[in-house]
Amino acid sequence: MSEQKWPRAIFHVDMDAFFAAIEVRDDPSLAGLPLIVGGGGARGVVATSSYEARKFGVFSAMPMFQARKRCPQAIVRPPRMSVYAGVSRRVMQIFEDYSPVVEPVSLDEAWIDMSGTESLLGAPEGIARRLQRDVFEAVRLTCSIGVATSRFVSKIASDMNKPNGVTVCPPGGEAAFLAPLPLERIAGVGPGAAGALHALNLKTIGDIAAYPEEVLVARLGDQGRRLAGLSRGEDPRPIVRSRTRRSLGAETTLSANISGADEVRRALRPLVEDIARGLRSKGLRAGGVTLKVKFADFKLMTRAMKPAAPVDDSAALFVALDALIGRADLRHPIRLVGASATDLRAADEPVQGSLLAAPTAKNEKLERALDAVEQRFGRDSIRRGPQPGYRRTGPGGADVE
Amino acid sequence: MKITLDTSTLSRELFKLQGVVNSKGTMPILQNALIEASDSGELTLHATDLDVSVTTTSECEVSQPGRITVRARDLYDVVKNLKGERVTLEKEDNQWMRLTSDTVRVRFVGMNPDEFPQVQRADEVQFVPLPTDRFMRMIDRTIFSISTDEGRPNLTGALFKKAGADRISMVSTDGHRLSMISAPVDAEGKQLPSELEDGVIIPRKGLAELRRTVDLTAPEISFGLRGNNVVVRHENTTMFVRVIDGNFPNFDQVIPESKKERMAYVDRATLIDRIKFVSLFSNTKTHNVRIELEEATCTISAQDPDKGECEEKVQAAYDSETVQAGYNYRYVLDVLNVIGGEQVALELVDTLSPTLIHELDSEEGERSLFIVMPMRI
Repeated sequence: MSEQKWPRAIFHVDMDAFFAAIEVRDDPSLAGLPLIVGGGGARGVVATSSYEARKFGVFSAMPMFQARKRCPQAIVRPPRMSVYAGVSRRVMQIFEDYSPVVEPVSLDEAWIDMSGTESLLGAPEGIARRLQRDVFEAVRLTCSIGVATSRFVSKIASDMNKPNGVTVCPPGGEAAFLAPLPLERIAGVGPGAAGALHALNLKTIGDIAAYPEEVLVARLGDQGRRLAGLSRGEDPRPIVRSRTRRSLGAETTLSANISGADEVRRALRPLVEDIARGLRSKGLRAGGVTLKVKFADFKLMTRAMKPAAPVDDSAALFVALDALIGRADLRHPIRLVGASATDLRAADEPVQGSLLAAPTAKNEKLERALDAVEQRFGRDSIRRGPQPGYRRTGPGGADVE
Repeated sequence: MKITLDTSTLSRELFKLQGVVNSKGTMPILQNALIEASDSGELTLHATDLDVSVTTTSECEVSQPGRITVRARDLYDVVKNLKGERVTLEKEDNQWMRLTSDTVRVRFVGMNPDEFPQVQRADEVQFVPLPTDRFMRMIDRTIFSISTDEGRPNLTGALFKKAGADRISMVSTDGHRLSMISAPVDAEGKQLPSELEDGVIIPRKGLAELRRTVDLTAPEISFGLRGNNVVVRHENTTMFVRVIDGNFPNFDQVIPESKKERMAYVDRATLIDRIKFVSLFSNTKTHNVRIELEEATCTISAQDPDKGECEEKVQAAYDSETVQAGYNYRYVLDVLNVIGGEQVALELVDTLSPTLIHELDSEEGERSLFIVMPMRI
């Protein structure tokens, strides 16, 4: 291979049918069969499907009933998110052995910036093959890798040769590489933008590259400028290390200073509901709870505790915070209160069963019901009524109990 | 005040106060020991954190009766390091106290003894005797499952309650597991205090202090109630423990009915050892280990997506249907480590119901039962 200079070497790694491949790995009797991993029930959706099932037109995010119609012989397995997360951590660790700059997109997908490693590790294609082998040896799963000089082109490339493929777009070859592809492959080009481009008689990415940029900008504004650049393979966006979420919190700077445990409780109540809703929407539970108070003199106080079992409803979070409030000296004027959920765990991790009904068990059910209503009718479509110690302001600024 | 006594006696008695003196609280005097000498030749040492109070009495040579109070920790640190066999404590002006022993001279800053909280008197308490080892077994079998969750204060102590005629029980639960033991009590014709009909909740700290300070060589302790305190006396020491205000949950209804034919008999030491081994592969956050009972076999297994999986089979006397459940292995070990007997009986009802662990070969007349709630997987 000729010695090429890579201004940047960006890898996009995509695990092949990740969830389904793990299920097959752990139960080899599923090999070669159409397999769907996804939620059961009337409203479940497909999380992923094996390549055998994809041949029947089953794709991610398709409603389960439709998937079953297209492929009635498919075997359906419920997702085991904590297992997938564990495998994902292992895979990401391997990526980090290759480069410190790894940007995970999801459990099964990541960008790796390998720029400047040629002298150390050799040509990018060889590195990609080695990475595939290391991943396979560690977790017995295959992945497909796209190698290019940018995020955009590497992502397109990883999808060209699935499964277990390596696709390299050498520096300078971007425009030719992209030219034959339909323009819908560009992320962010939805039906609306595609329609506008088709109206200009543009069908492929190459058509966009050949089209006068000024006209595109005139028609589509900033989007036009972005498309013109991408169509030539120009995408300067950097790969950014992203840290995984370790806590989920909310805080509020008060319009007027408060003091005392009761007022702190009142200020925390709406924050706690937001945190609890956030936890549930991300499928997490909190193993720890932290209270944060900033006094008028800017002295910061934090107190933390671990509830007996991980929690995700506001009443249980509040019970924990209340214990912290009881222990804290809150007599001085306070300008900010906050709370955060820490030690986050997947909600489908094994949960310690309860011998006695937790005092907050009813509330847990209630909040799940509220979530369902909000999901259907939108945020704030339903709210709790006022609770003891929970004032809200009525018309004309009057306090309403 | 001026007294002289054996260094070893003073050291031993001061040790009993150390768990109670409060080093971080807002009342500085609670870091102190109150020292009282009577003209009858009796030395009383006293410390309290307002929830637990300890009073010990011992003989000494009283040259001049009186009271002083100094920091208990400092005094103990000095006394336990003295080489001299005898030690003299003497009150000086301005609440200072002078300690002399052999070649040592120490002067402690003291405080006004009148500021020390009122010392409770045990004079009117109706005491009931209980063998010391029995009382210790009751604490040992319940203290580990007391809740540490301040959100549920009524679970942060063990319920001490009358259990039928001439029996007393101790029960604790943290909502995930429950431990109970009942034992005969020889009231020598005296009535058990009526408060014990409904029971009182003794906080963990009080039980821990009792376990730490009770003289195990003494054959007997005695207990009683005074106001909202449990009073325990052993030898020369009296401890007042303020009981927790609240109702202990009604636990009878969560205990599944035990059936002999469901029990699996396993060698206790083997089970402890093998659960520890398999737990190397349990998830570090959930501590989940699975136990499966099938004919003549108890299978222990664990798996973790980051580590792998591990399984071991242990012999069991069992011939009922196959049943399995997952547990926080530490909860199971807590029980197995505290009970006696070569064998233990496990009773798994099903994957989600409370699991019973029976102590076999209990001491005379004692009955204990442990419940561990499985994890939902």
